[in-house]
Amino acid sequence: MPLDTTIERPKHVKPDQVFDLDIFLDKDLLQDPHKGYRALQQKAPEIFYTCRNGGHWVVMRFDTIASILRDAEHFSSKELTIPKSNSDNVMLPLNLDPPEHAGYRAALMKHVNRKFVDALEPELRKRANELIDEVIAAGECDFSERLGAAFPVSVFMDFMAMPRERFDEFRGIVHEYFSPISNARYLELQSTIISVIREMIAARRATPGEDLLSKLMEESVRGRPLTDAEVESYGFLLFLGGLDTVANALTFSFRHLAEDAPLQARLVADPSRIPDFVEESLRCFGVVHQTRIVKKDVDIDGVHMREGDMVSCALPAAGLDDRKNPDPERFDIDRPRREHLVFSTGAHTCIGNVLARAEMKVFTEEWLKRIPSFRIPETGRLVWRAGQVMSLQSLPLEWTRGGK
Amino acid sequence: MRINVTLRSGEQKAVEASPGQSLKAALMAGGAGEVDALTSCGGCCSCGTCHVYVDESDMPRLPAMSSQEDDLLFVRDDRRANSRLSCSVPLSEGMDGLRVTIAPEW
Repeated sequence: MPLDTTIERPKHVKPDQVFDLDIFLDKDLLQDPHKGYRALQQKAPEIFYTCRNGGHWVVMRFDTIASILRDAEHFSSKELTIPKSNSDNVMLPLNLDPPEHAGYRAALMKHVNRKFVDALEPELRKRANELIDEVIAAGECDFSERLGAAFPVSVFMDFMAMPRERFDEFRGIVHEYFSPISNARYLELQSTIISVIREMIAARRATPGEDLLSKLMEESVRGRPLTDAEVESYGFLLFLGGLDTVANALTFSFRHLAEDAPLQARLVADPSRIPDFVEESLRCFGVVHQTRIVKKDVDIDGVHMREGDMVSCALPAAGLDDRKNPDPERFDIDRPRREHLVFSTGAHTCIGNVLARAEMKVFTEEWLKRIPSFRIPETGRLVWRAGQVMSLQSLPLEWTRGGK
Repeated sequence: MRINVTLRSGEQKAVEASPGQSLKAALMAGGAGEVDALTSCGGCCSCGTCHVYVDESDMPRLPAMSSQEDDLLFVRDDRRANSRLSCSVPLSEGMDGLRVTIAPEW
């Protein structure tokens, strides 16, 4: 978002609670956002207020984040964007608060549960290999788009029955959407996404299929069939969630793995440890920050949050909290206990988390079978995006041409 | 107080519990961790994953269900008349000896 949204310190914020941070443009975050948030956790006030981006609180400790996200009495999901978007477009069920939220969540969860993911696994394996086929001979690739994004996004597009030839177009939309852009452009992109979904609904109405939108069109909440507007609103959320989040988590995990040759060898020798690798990677390299708007004044640890204040819960920092995970910066797949909030907690815990974990596991398994050793070339440059949904936009990798 | 739980494997366990705890918390602390799914919301009646079947004869001892809990159970094909979300059952003295079965993973 643009810099001209900096505000004066509001009166209810004490001067010592202010810490200057631009969550989109901070230099340290753009250098390495996870290191950046870990450093902030140590040097900034426990809960702080930044006047940038319309002014908002930032919370980085696990327990504080968890208590906010489970507190629907004081914190609402009606506004999820920093700076405030004041958008009329609703994402179901993400923008709803309990108790209204539960029925809408259940209607979606029914279609994205473990049974669905288990049934999808052969398709995941096949898709991972098709994409590896495309790059293996060259001995190098930019992982971020060719694999990290292409894999989960094409899987998602398939089960939404979106034509694969629109991959670049859709990726372009989400890249821009999560970048620092003006609010006018932000709302314009929302309209673009919603019109894409609207077209899809019209097409499904004519020819129903087995895809998720078709299933949602048959769905009801408390016995009342969903309206087209409601299906559209689920579609809006799915578009953003499906086209950019696992993509980033997968690329983050491969960035680490590329720089950890002993771990590559270990996982090749014992693939049964890949789920621990995935989980440790999620703990260390989170993607999404969850925003809330204060709906009723509340005091937390000496901080007074006022109705209408925006709060950014830095989920990626929660797993790096030394109060939860000793020696948090050490990447250790053998941790006896591991806690993180990458998929959030409370009413809006990510419904796609079983799918995300399965995708990361399957992809890593298939990749290591064929490319057991790889690295970031010496000339490789990493390009990060900070903000509310963080990504690594370029991850050059190289390996012995043709794999093993 | 004690809760008698049947796990998904069919194994039966007696779990120590105290009044004021949620049924889910007691089950988790007592070694029935499988009630806590990967997709859990953390026990605030928002995800519907901590589903248990309560023994029919014990149903009258339970507090009534909220509409939120009902909404979450509404869509499940494995819902029965004795279905509850264990996070939403606060334990009280009168529930000693409650018999519950963990519902299949969903």
